Amino acid sequence: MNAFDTQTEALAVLLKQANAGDAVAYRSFLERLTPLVRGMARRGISRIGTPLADLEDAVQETLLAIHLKRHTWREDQPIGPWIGAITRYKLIDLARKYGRRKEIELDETFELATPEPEEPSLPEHEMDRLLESISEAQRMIVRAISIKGMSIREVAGTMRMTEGAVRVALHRGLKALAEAYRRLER
Amino acid sequence: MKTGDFINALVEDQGVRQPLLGPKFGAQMVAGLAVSLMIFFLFLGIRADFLSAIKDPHVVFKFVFSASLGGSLLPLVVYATRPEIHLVPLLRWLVLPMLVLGSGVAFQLVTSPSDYWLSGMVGRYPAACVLNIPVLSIGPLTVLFLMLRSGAPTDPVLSGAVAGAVSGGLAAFIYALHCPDDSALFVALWYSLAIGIVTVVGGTVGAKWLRW
Repeated sequence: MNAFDTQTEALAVLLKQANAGDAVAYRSFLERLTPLVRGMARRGISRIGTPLADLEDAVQETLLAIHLKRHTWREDQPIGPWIGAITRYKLIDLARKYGRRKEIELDETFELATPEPEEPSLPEHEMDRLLESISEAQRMIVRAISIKGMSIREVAGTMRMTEGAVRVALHRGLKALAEAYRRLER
Repeated sequence: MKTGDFINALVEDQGVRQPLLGPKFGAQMVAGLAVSLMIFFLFLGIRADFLSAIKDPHVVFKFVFSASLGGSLLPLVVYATRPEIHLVPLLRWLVLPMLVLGSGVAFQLVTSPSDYWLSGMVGRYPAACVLNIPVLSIGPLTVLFLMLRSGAPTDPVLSGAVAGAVSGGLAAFIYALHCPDDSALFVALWYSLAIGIVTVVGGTVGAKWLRW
């Protein structure tokens, strides 16, 4: 088994545990996945010819898409092509925003992705812009949980909401963010 | 927002996720068909001579063709919910309904004199056929679109079109219970046109509604 196989095998195990309800496994899945998605997104962006400044935004949108569609991975199937296909789909979205409607040659071989760390020099402004388009309560909840690192329980306490209500608002907020990104034109 | 921070929000939104296709889908599909059958029995109903007509192979052909189209493409809709599966190569399954249609037409041409070909093809109620099949497709089309939306179809137009073709095939099967035009040439022309309409509608709606 080579290094890549070990890596994807680990992702498969983690997502399986995550889909069964294990939050620790899910965090670990996303942390391992992110540099790989970034590697794939960088190659895609250079092939499409869009500004590299979009890289981190593309990574976040892809992670969001993988998150919202994580139930479409079948546990008896390899996870690499599944991740690759979603990443490619989101990169095509990005190309479309720049009016590149011609068929883009993007391979979806996740196997070729070289993991890349986040570059502090690259901006990531899109998500903040998109956050402006969702409801105020949803925005506050998404910000408190992501930037301040609060848990659902803590947010429920400070916002005087039930945990269930926070949970629903967070989920709807994330779905609204994905929807807003889709409608975005540059 | 930093990607590392954004992950916090995704992790908090985590929970047990059910796989996409469970018994729920089967139940929804039955419900979708029930809606179409209800419309059918309210406005159309089974043809009066059904029991004698069904002994005619030309009548049986209508059912075999509709079922072969719906049946051969239904798995494609299920596959379309998975992002990594390419639909285009799977379209080869269309060969099956095409062969059925070809055999039916050949059988019709052999079993009826050429004087009757044109009148059989035009039939008595072509407009009813082209109108009713799309209407009867509403139930299954809705269910298949809901399933596709909860999935991750990476080719929204083709996924929607295939869902349309499947629904059109199932609707044609229901309509065949009523349809008094029994020539295979009628089926080849008007059934295909009606199913084609549902397919185009599916593709058009898919382009807008199946993106994610």
